[in-house]
Amino acid sequence: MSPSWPLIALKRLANLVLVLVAMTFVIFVLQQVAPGDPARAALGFTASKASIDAERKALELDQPLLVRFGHYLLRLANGDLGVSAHTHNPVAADIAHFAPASVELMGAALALGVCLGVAVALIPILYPRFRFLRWILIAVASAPIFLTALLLSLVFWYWLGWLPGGGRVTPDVYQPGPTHLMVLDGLLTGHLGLSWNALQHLALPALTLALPVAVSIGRTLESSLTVVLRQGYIRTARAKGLPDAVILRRHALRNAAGAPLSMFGLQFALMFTNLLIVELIFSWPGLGYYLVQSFAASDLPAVLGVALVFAVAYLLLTSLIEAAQGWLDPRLRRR
Amino acid sequence: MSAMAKTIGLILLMVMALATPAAPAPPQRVLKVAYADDVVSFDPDNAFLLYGLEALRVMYQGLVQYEPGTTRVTGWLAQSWSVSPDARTYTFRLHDGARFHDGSPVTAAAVMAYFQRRATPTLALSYFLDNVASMSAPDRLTFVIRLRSPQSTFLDRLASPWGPKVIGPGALVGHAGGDLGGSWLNEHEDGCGPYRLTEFSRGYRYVLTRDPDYWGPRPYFDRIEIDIVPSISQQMLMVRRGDLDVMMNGYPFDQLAHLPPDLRATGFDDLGEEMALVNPWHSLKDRKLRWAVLTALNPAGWLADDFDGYATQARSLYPKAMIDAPRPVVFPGDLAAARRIVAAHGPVHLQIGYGAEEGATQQRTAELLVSALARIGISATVMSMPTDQEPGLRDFPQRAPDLWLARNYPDAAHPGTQADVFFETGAPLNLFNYSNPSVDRLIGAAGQITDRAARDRAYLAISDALFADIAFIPLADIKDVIVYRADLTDLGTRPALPWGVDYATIRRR
Repeated sequence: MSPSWPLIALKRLANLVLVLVAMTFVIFVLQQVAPGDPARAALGFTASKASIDAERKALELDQPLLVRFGHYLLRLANGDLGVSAHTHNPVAADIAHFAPASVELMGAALALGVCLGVAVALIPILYPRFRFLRWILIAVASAPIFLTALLLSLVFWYWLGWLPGGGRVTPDVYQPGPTHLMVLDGLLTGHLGLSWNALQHLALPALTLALPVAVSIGRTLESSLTVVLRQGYIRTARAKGLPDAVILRRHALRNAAGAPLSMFGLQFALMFTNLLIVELIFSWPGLGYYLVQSFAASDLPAVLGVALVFAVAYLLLTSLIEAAQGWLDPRLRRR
Repeated sequence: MSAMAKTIGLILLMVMALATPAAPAPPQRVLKVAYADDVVSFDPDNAFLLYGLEALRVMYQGLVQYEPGTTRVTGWLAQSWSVSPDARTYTFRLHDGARFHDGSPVTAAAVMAYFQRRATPTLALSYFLDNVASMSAPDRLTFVIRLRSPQSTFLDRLASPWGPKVIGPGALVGHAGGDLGGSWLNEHEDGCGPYRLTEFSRGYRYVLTRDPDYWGPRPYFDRIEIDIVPSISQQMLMVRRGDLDVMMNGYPFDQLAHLPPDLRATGFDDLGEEMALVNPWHSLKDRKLRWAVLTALNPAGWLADDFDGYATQARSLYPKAMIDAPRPVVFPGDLAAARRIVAAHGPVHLQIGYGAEEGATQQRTAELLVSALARIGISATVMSMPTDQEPGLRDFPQRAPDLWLARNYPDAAHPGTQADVFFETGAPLNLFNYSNPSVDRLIGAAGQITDRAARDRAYLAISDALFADIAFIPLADIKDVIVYRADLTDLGTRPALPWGVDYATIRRR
């Protein structure tokens, strides 16, 4: 008998908490043993000894490692991520400030990546004459991400002037909204100009992030489809006279979706790395930019805070993917 | 038409719909600039800014400042000042009519309340006032500071870009909170300068708007828009495309000769001298070997090949803008003797380090030094470290790089601030724990001299002693280069203001 859903959810949640604590500990220790002095980083090299000592005390650097970690976990349980040594703001507030930009960018990139990925997989099957489009996409996506970003920026912004080369929105168009997701805020508040402007700004960074996702998902889906399309039930469907498009939609895609879904999870994890580069190149004020800045400043609370957000996002997405795989293939639910 | 062709056509239509013509030209009275990094805080007492310094100095004003293009101290909020014969009492007479952005007048009492905040030891830059014994405001416009002992650097510390900038009572009282207004002042201001901070969007942009009630001359620009653009290549494209008016730093030297006709470049000497700190605790313990390294590193042998005329050989351990030494340091020139020393010593491998924040310039210099060392048979590799880890080198000099390249900025244009930070025993950026009691004595004595010419001679003697010890090697004065639109003028650059123009004077022709 398979276990009940609440029990599965509870087990997953317990796993999630354990993984988060372990990950927090590893990052915490790594940051502590790295050379550098967060107190000096916060105050500057020439700050007085009194102010450095006060900052050390405030950062608990005079306490043993395990004590500090314990205090950190206690504060974390209360939703307190500490104060950034770099910006002097609560880390939670900084994350709330920077997260919407990253959520919007990653959401757009994932959606675009999936659409392009499906196109990469289906074009050779449905329209063999346009197979060259797939190769163009693969060629562009094979370049290092910073090169892709610079190339797209150079062509579509600098040379052609078609799309903005950086930032989230033209300042004159900006209107504050409830979600801080510009496209959505424009729709919710009726400022369609804002949504349109935000979409234009999203285009290049989202495309840059989407290309590796598209190629990975596309190639995995294509391989899975190739196998599935040779199965007996597909031959039966063909023998019944069903058109290829219907066979693909009703029978092949669902059975071939398992591997691309796993790949989607992997690409989501890789996207965090690419996010750091893309946000820097496109002046995108998101968590990737914040993380790079915090890391350079030995800002431990900020680095830990962003790492936790990324970890939670990844673990939640992995759980969703597992659930989706179980829905697609009931045999997996029994494992 | 096939379904696929229709789909492609639809996608192309969507791309064209998303596409727009180039952005319209910026309004005439808006100046657009960019920073590669965020401003930590606009609190003038609690952040060691590089990006944002020039913005800070048009929001806030101090008692004195440096004149544009020089290191001469001139009045700012103070229209005049005097120093007592015992060099311990400074009396400042304030301009009448200055107002803070909260509307209150700039009085001696307000200035004193601010200076008391600045002296609070928990604030990062409080040490600027650590020699202050007392302060008083005998009348509405007279402010008096009494020092514990004579301090020849005091006026320069007040004029420093990191020096005290008076904050109004609107912030100090109205937004004090539990941290002397620190949280509020991170992203707001209450100064008395020609511009107000009207937008602070961390990680994205800041906007300064001209204060219509400013007490001094009206600046040309109505708004200064500062975008955060971390990528230097993106900044280059923006300035070439007209999306930026000024690129403050980072434009590659080798491309400056190929600027389009609507752009100009100007270089000025700042207070950051390129020098090498020698680590005597590891591979370079042997003084003879250090002498051989010194011979190889003679900038005359490699500097001309690089920096496209924007660097000159350093003449002492002080930047040229601080002291233009009449007699430059003389490097040993006997390369053959240096080769013989290395050959007798056996294989030598050195590591050259630098702070990652200064990456572009330092990587270039480090590679040139690797070639220079190869000429005497020394192999070398290059490494960068996060800048905040630099002070930590003092804790493990045996494992630290053998040569450390630095272009650090002293607090002010007074050579004493250079000696205090780098050369003195225990100084915060004396990374390899150099200690020479006779040099310390010289530094102590030089700090008492008030006559400028005599003072400079005393500090140059310290430079000579350090050079003779092969502890610090002066390499180059590399100019700060600003790229700007050709119709801009009166940039107002100052040696003590790295990476910055003066928004109060810059204008379009």
